[in-house]
Amino acid sequence: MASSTPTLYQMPDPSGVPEWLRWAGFRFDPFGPLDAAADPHLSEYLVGHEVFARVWGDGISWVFAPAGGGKTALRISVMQACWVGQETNRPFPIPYVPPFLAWGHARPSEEEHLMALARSGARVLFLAMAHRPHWFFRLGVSGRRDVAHLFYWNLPGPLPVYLNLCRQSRQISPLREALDPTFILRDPPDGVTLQQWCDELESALAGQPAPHPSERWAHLLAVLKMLGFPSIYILADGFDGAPETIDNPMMIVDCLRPLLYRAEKWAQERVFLKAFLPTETLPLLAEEFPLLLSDHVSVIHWTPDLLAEIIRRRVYVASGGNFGSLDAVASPALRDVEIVLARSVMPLPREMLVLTRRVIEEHVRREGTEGLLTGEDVEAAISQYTQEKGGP
Amino acid sequence: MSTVQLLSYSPSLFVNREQELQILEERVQALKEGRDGHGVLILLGERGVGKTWLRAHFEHQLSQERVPVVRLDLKEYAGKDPAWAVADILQRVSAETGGPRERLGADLAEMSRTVFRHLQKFLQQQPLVVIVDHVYESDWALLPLLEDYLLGPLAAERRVLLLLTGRGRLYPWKNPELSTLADPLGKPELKPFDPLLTKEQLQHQAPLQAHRADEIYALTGGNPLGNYLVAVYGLDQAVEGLLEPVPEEQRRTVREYLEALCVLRAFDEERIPNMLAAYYGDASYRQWTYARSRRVREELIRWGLARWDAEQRGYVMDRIVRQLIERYLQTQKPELWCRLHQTAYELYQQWASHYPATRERWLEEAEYHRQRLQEYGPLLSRSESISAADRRIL
Repeated sequence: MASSTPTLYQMPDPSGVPEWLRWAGFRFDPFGPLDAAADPHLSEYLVGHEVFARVWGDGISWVFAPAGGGKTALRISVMQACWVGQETNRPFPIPYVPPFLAWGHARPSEEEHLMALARSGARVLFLAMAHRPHWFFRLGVSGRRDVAHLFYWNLPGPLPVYLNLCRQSRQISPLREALDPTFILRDPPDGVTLQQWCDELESALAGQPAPHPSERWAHLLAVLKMLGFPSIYILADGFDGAPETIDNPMMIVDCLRPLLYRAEKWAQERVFLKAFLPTETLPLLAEEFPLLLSDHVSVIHWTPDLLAEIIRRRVYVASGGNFGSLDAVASPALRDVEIVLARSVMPLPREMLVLTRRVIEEHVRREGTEGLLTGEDVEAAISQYTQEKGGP
Repeated sequence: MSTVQLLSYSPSLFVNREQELQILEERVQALKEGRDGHGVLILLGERGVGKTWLRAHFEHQLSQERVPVVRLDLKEYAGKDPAWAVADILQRVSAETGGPRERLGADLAEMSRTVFRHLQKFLQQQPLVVIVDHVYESDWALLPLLEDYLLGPLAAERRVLLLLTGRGRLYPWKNPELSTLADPLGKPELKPFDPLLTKEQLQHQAPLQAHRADEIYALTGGNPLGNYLVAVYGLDQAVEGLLEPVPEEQRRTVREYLEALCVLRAFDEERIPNMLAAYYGDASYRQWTYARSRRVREELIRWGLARWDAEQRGYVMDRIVRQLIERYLQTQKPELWCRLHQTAYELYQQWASHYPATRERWLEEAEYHRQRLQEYGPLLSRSESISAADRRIL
């Protein structure tokens, strides 16, 4: 599931940057993917660990941040943490970005939410199970039938179409392309096992008509429980993604309200709402739902130090732990590169990545694909960035 | 050929670490009673600070309490194919927890599933402590596989206490139980001994040298391995002992690099050629390319002898190694020690005048070297071999 906020910069990869990164000792480009969902290393360079620690675990939790402020990155990190291992002994994540386009409005009823949640959960389970068919193979007849119907009722297209995609290609990738290109799970099965899963899943289908939305949701919960997942995390994000909600925090609260009324009851059933919301909604929610927001509330505030840490962390991971700052690949004339950049940028992670990459592009343009970063590279990048943002 | 023999752990030779052992004991109790609060512990610390002995002592206590332990030393897998290594580790874990050793599966995923299926049964009967040594020194190609197929799933098990030990580069685990939610044992790293404990250690391990405890502490800062090596073998051989993980055929060169760089508080590829030129008395080192300097830096990092330091904004040598090597040069080769400090002083002075934006930083470094040389002026003035040039800033 892609980022909930639109990508601000669609930058081509200018020739030379990957070469410079290689020269400088990077294993991959840590400044490239601006869409958190597309970045396979996201969990490795998470900063703000205390926020993650508050979000992770069985409980309702809240993360408030400005648009582009890392909510989606955090949401995806939580999701990736759920997928550790081969078994069903971790929480099951349902990434929930409201389907405003499908609804055609931004004031969904509880029923519409439940339908969308069931669809999202079914889609994730379908992809996960395609990677882990042994979860299905060990079920009895009725369990298999329940799983098959869950997919039959809730996937966006007909189940046999998806199964045929797998059968024809003997791979999972077409399934991912069709349902969620950013879904990452290790160890897909071999072609034979995949074929077997498709056949057995299809044969378990009895073709019962789809029940009422609330029953579909209950059915999803029952299936997940039967599979052994100890809890379910609803990772709600992207509520500011509709034209009506983008600049209207009250509208976001309105949209969210049916879920909030359910949140406490869900928690008793080990279904935990974890909401990633724009900062402006915090006072409104705190006023209306003071008990719900009494605990596990995190507000991400991007200080220059924290922004600098984003780059340092990415440098550390991409250099294989060899160095933890661009200072290591900067001339002695330049120190504290990350802080210099962080003080010149709009306080958002995405902007920080854009500016950092711009420094490297400037370097390649001026000096070629080798050599240490210089003060001139940084100055030129900041000047260009400031002009683009309408600065002096 | 090094003549240094490192002392093997023995319960009677073990000293202190009461605080850390108490934490471990509490975790084990929680584990045995099925309470929450065990999870993942991380034991970090510099070379020779006592991680191995603490781990061994903990293992000894566990064996007395009959708590099952699986210990994996990732050093054994250095240079091996990561997939092969993880397969071997899974086989060992399976065999040691009552599962089969062979025919676990066709690939790592299937092997992992089989191991955990058997492990579930094992854990129904008893808890398990898994100790993984030399984690952070390991190849970053090995760790993601180990995380996916063993450590991540293990960390999620309620009846497992996982202890990860190592030094150097912290690995960016994906799994929160291994990173964000893991607890450091020793806050945040295992500390060297204080003077009293240094004395106690020497009374146990080198009683004839215990009267030199204060003198040894001044040299080692209380690093237990350093204490023992200096007491038994003297400074030069103590350094050899600390370099024991480096293969014999590379040790000479690595030691020379360390000697060349030990006077610096931090180094990088820009500083390496200058210091090597001063060390070897050969100006051609100054022509070294960045890539060539990087090989030196990578070599030192590979053996865990240096790491990036966020505060110093550069690479720093392992503290005890740097301390002993510099002390060795200072006392045994004072003219070389002086030349290296002089070179560093001049380099930083030059940088300070060339780079106005970072001038203050380099002046501060230059001042450090000036003070070091002044501080040890009396020692140097006794050396007949110091050149006039080497003396000129004193």
